[in-house]
Amino acid sequence: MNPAEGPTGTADLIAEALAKRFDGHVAVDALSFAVERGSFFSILGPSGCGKTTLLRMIAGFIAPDSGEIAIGGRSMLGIAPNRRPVNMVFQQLALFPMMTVGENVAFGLARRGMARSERRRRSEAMLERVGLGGAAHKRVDELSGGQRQRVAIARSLVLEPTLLLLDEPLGALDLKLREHMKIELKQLQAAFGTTFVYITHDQSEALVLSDRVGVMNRGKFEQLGTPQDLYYRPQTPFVAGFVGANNRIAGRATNTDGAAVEVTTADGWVIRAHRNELISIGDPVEAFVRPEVASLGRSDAELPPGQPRHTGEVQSVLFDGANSAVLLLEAHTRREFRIALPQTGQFSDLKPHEAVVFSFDPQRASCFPARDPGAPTDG
Amino acid sequence: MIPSLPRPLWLRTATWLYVGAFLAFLFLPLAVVAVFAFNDAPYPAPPWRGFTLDWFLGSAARARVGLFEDHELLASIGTSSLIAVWVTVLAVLIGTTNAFLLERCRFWGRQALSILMLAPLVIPGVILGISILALASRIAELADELLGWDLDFLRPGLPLVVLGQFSYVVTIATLTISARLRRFDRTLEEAALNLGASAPRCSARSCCRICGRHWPAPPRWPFCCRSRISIRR
Amino acid sequence: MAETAAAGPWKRLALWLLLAPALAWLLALIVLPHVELAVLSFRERVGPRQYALSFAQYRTFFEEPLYWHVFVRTAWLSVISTLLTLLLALPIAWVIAKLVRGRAGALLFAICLIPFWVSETVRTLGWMILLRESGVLPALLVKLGITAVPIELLYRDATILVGLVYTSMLFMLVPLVSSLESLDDALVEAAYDLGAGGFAILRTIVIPHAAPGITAGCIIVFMLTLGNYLTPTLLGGKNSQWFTEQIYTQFITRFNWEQGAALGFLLLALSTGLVVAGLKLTGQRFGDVMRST
Repeated sequence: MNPAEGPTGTADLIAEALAKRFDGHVAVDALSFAVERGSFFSILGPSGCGKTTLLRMIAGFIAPDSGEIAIGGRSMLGIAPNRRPVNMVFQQLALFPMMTVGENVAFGLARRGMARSERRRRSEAMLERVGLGGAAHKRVDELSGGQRQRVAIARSLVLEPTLLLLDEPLGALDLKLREHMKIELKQLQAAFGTTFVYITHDQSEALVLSDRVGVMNRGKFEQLGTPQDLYYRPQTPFVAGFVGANNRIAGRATNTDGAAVEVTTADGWVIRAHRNELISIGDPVEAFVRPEVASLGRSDAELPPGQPRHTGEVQSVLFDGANSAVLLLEAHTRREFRIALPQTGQFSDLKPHEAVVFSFDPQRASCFPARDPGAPTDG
Repeated sequence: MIPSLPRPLWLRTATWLYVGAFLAFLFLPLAVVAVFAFNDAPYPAPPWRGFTLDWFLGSAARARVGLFEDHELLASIGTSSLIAVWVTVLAVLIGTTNAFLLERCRFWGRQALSILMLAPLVIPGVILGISILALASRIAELADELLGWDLDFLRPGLPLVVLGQFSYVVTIATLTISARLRRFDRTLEEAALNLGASAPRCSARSCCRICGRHWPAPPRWPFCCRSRISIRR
Repeated sequence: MAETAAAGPWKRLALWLLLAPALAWLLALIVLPHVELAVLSFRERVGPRQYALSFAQYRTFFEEPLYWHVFVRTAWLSVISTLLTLLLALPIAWVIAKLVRGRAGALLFAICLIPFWVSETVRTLGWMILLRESGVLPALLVKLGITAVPIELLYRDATILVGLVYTSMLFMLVPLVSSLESLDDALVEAAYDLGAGGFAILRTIVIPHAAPGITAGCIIVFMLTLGNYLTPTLLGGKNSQWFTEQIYTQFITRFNWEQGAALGFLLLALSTGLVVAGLKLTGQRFGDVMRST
């Protein structure tokens, strides 16, 4: 995987060929990437993909088996965690319960030998900036989840680090608070201009917050790019399936025509999709169709012209306000297919077992050569 | 400091040296006693004069009475064990009821009672002992004078020893068991009730479950502490 | 027992069944005996089986220089031995709680507790074999050429301290280990990440967190040391001058229960005073401290 594909700017973090094994299990596999100064970079991946290991290597708590880390242009080889220009926001926040909020925020400053008045001034200014002005005297357990989040960030940012690492900080919050904090984090990062490196398994967080995202699986980056790149132009089946909802159709390539490919499933369903890589006739392939790309109709006339049409039967209607979708079964093969319902409320009276027709633009359906799920993916 | 943080070599070696020295300190007196029990000499002192089992089995030729033949000694070991068993049983029993009382029941004065139960920890053992002796003697005297009863168990003797030890050890047992009880997941009890178990059965089983894992600890304390207070003439 | 489930009258019965042994124990073995002791301490024998109310016992304490001297000495040595025990136990407790993980940690803990399965008498005897003039250590010193003749290591204050620290180690280790185990590793990592070194972390994070355990351990050890009869007497000999020994002498040898009771109450006042002072100094409450063990 080649490093930094983004615009060339000064990179605050450069990692080259980082690798780490634990007892024969490869946690991080020759990873290289760069994070531009002042940007918000996320590492997105399922549990066990190695992202926490990667973060702790950057922080200095784990020494890599091989590879280089450079932060702010300086190599971090052999430098202890408390000597790096990096600060970390831990998953459980790790706020010190035996100190007040103000003492928590001023902790790092006190360790640097700063005078008390100066410490107090800076920590109170920082608390103001995160919206907790006047809370310096409170104890940690008097704060709500979102407030504690902000104290943890303030505690790190007051030290003006080159890099701020965040280890799934929103995991413990409930949905509404999480949505709110996502926006706050984005605004905080923009306001401070510090480079953020954020790890998460929640793809919605990664998409909303980041300037660039690295999707990680089994110790390697499957794809590095902007959120839009990942969503609209996934380069591997894993990324296509992991980022955003997607219908996955597995089968064999039965015909190719330029950039288009015809896929036939084992039970005989034929669809057309767009291919990114070389596919020969007869290769096993996986095709992905996003729910919002497909169109639904009760009759052929309602569908956009020029697209292959399929028939199906409604299995269930998943009502979720503006995110409503319908799960339907393709007429002949009884395969599940999910289509996002338009927000006009047009299909609000859809019932199970109703017969419908659907279609999608083959240009917007991606097709990849199928990969053995056990084998490591390559770029 | 902790495994995930880097530790300099001097700190690591110093730590393990300290642990080694500490364990040596702990076991030295015991090792010495064990070793000299086999010494072929009239007193447990160096130099080493040879290995012998005389002190255990006795030797008529050297006029040494072995441990297994010294009936008084054996009897006293028996007495010690008997006291320990009684104290343990009583302490664990009452400790458990106390723990349930403090953790599971609500009543007026619970807070004060729990503080009062901690009193034996801050009363020097000697005072616990003499106070019980004084009261027992007073009651025995009164019983004798007023009613003509001869309450032997209130005179200095084994029952008083058991009571004296018990009065301290039960506090420790209560603390240990109630700590465990507090950490016990109440939702398990509620789930059992929900599935049809009756309330006493629920408590008994949950009690057995937590105590089963924790009972080895409280009995150990009485056994260790039994030499602490002894009230004897 | 789930309070929610039991019906009214059964609940009351259960409550009284549980309260009965607790109240019986507290009343019969704690409260009343101390009342009796108080009564004893305030009377004086004026004739055969004749007693009168008086402060004579307490007056004797303040008038006899020996009593006062021994009192202060006992208190002082107890404080020192408590602090020594704390300093020696802290590193081991840290190793068990934080450095050695899982089963190895539990094993190390169990190993440290084994000596306490052996009676105090035997342990003290072990020290005597080691330290007396004809014992192991003086012989070793002579062999190594450090001393010319075997010296008497017993019957010194240092020996009493060693014995006391040894006896109390268990009671300091247990609360320390339990309170250190509850310290979240992430706090230490976060402090480190923010720039704190080892000592700063100890000072700002570990000690404040472990304060209840430390206080509980110190209180228990201090009490046990104050009330200890066996170790100071055996290891200190006639020079031990231990207050508890005085109390025993009055009660058992001289049969002067009144004097013994008064001395006992004075000891109780001392110990309570020191414990309260200690708790106030470290800003903690008794109930919370004890429950943390």
